[in-house]
Amino acid sequence: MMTEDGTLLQVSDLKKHFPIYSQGVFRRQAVNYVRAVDGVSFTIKRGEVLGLVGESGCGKTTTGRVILRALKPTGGEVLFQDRDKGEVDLARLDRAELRDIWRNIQLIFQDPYSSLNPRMTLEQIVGEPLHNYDILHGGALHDRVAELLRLVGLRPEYMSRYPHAFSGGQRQRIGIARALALNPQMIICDEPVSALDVSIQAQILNLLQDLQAQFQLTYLFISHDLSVVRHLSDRVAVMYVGKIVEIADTEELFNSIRHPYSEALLSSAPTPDPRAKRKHIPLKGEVPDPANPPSGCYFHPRCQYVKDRCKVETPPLRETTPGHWAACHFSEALSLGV
Amino acid sequence: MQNVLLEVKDLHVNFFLTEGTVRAVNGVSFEIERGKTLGVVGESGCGKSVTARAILNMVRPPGRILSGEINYYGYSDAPVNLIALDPEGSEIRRIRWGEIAMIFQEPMTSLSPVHTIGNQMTEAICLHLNMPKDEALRYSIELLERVGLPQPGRLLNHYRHELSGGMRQRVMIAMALSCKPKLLIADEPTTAVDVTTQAQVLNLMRDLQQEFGMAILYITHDLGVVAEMADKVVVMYLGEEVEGADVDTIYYNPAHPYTRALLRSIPRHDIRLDRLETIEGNVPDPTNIPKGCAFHPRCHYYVPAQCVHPPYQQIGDGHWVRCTRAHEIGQQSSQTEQVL
Repeated sequence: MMTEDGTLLQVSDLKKHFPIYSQGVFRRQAVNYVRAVDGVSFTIKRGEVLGLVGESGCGKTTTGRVILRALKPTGGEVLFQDRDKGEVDLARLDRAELRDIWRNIQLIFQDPYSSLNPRMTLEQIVGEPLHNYDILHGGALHDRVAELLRLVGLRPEYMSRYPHAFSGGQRQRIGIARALALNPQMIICDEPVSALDVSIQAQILNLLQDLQAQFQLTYLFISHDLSVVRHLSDRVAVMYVGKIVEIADTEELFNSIRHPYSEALLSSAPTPDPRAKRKHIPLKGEVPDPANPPSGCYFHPRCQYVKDRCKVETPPLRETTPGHWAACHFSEALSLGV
Repeated sequence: MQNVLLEVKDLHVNFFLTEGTVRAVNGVSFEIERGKTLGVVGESGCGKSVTARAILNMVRPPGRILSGEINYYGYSDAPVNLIALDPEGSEIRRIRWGEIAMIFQEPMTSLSPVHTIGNQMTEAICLHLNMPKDEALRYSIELLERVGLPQPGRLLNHYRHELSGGMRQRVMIAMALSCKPKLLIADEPTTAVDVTTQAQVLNLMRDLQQEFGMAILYITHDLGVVAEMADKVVVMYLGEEVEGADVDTIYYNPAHPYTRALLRSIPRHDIRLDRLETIEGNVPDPTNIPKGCAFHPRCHYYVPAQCVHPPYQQIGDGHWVRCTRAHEIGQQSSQTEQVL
């Protein structure tokens, strides 16, 4: 069941605030909130890869977890076009209903060492989702696991081994095989290559790309690495202190930046080319505390283009050119780029 | 030889483990020039960090420096062979920090959790520079200011857990600079910090290098950082140098299959690539390094009879390669040129 324009996931004004409690033995009272995700909206089309990029603490991982409902959102809507159930709002489902939805949304973790149970064999790990949902048993389960392992480039003979026998790259393949087991519609990839060595990273990126094409998968690809995001994503959203500051098609975003933070982020990324002459925009200070964000535009204390208006008025995320959204009062007036 | 500050000659370091002997550094030789930056690149387990520790004679058991020379030309008179010194002796202790300082990947573990930043800084400064305490305090504030930390006077009373990753790394740099070392060894100093913080730290290191004229040995796995920081580059694989040259040659005319493959396998934020090339397989188990050329099981250019223990040979001006087929490979243009 699909909407007209092929939207698979529509996130509107999503919020996740973590309470900070006062010190006290009997009464725990929230004195403040960490606004980890603070009004995030975006859509992902079927078969699209949306890259979500930002620095640590910007809320990108929390966004992924709230969408998956590993965390309960504080507010907002997450409309998902489920293959079996039609349109559902993930933000409102209870646990029993979520169980059905989780067949169609899977997660790939960052750390291939802590995300696999060391006491389970490969067959148990990869076959667990199929077993849990009572889909396959016995010989059929065994065959499906073998097929999945082959799909991610592992030999089915390894099925009876335990995770410790595998390298980081191979473990990440195991995690991918597990995520694929139920034929999901969407996979949330949370920094899937940042723990891997350079030569292994390329193998995993290619694998993710191949699987996406083969099964028309939809990815929400979360990463801090602009190079990886540019390589894999169709569209890119840049996050800063719980908000999306810019979102556009990948090439459009990298070629005509519309937000000063995206510009600073891109100019900070080292270029593997000694002849490259790139602009360096050093940022002053530190990322603000999401419990006490600055007034107005959250980026204003570090922005080199800051004007008085930025200090009082929070800029909305608005469409500056078709398909290119930016949360800056002066997007059009600034000529940004690196 | 006048410009050479440090010379590593045929260094061998082994780790004697129960699983077997790991030849972590297997005959590495390079030179670091005064005031210049040498980048050492490689994946985990290639021996780059062990090499750095060997320079300061800080290899701990089960590791042991087997042979080689590390000649330090920092004093005006004769060179000092650092690994011939007693690792606990007074001379090497004067050289560590005083002449050669080091910053590590995780500044959290290099700072004491139970001493304030001020305590740690002044202790080291008093010891190495023979300063009285109040003068050391003033000097600490000056240093913290120089590395761009706000309110350095207040910072001295803070503990490490009260600082962010970027601030900790700045404190480490300030401490490392306190004795105006002639060589700064930086072992993945920005791997644990965010990209905007990384840019700040790299800028700071470049500025300070200009100001103090120190040489930097920059160890990293990040080919982007090396391109921005290094004058010369050494690429390591399984304890050996596979290629060494100036930074431009490494990126635009690499001659070792491993270097070429690494450059083609990284995603880029500055240009669009359709598909990454991969290096097949994994880095082999270090207790069981392949015979002959260590890279041969993963190499596209492997010819069984030809690739038998290639020597590290010079194929161009300052361009060294460990590959028997380096000449033919060097003829082909690099990927970077094709793309740009």
